[in-house]
Amino acid sequence: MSEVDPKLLEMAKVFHVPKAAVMKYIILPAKAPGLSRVFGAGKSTKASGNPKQDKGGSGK
Amino acid sequence: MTIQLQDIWKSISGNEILRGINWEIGSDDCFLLTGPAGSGKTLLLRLILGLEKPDRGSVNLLGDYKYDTVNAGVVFQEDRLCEQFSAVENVAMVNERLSEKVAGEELSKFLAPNRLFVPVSELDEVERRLVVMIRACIIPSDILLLDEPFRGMDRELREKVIRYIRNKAGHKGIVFAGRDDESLGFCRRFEIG
Repeated sequence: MSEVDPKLLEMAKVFHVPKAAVMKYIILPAKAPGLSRVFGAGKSTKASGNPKQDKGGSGK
Repeated sequence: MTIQLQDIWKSISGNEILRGINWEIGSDDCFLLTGPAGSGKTLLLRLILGLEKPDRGSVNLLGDYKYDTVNAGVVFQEDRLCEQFSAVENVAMVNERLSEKVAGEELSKFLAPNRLFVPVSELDEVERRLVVMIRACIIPSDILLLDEPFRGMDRELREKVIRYIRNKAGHKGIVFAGRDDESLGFCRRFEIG
């Protein structure tokens, strides 16, 4: 487990990144590597533009 | 909206870096903030963003502005990317309303399709700089503050990026911080240090 990068948190603050995204992209990768891909996987149900990803899908 | 810096003084670790800076940045303004290394360019951008407080003087947001701090699209001096996530995810994460599809379309203007979905840790310096530039341009903001946005880019790419930035900025103010660059001849110079 590593520390959360304060520069990323600062970036998130400046960009007003939603809390859920801060958790998914910044905090979980540092605190619980491996979990971040599970938490909130698939930002939305919209097509991502990536045929591989859209084909597989997460079932959401 | 106009950002007004009034008689800004700032020391870091006892070193006086900024001495009595006065500057106004309005909508439609385009500045090249320049000066020697260590002259305080990045520090000045951080003061504008409210990430640092001046020792003396004030940063004022003039006009009918509803926020306490300026709403800015920023290229930081460091990339500040979420390393294990893709370019698309890094761009889409900063804006709830932005789908990964739209982020991918913007990124496709500069990156090869096979680079959009690999972790950004696998991208080279120029590709990473392009991702952070697009991230800054794509969020709703009132000004663009771009700290060394062209690092590693050749002249042809720089000019393409500048066209993109100006197009995305519309009537927003833009501040490019960095060294003199002939591609930025259209900007007013603001020199410190």
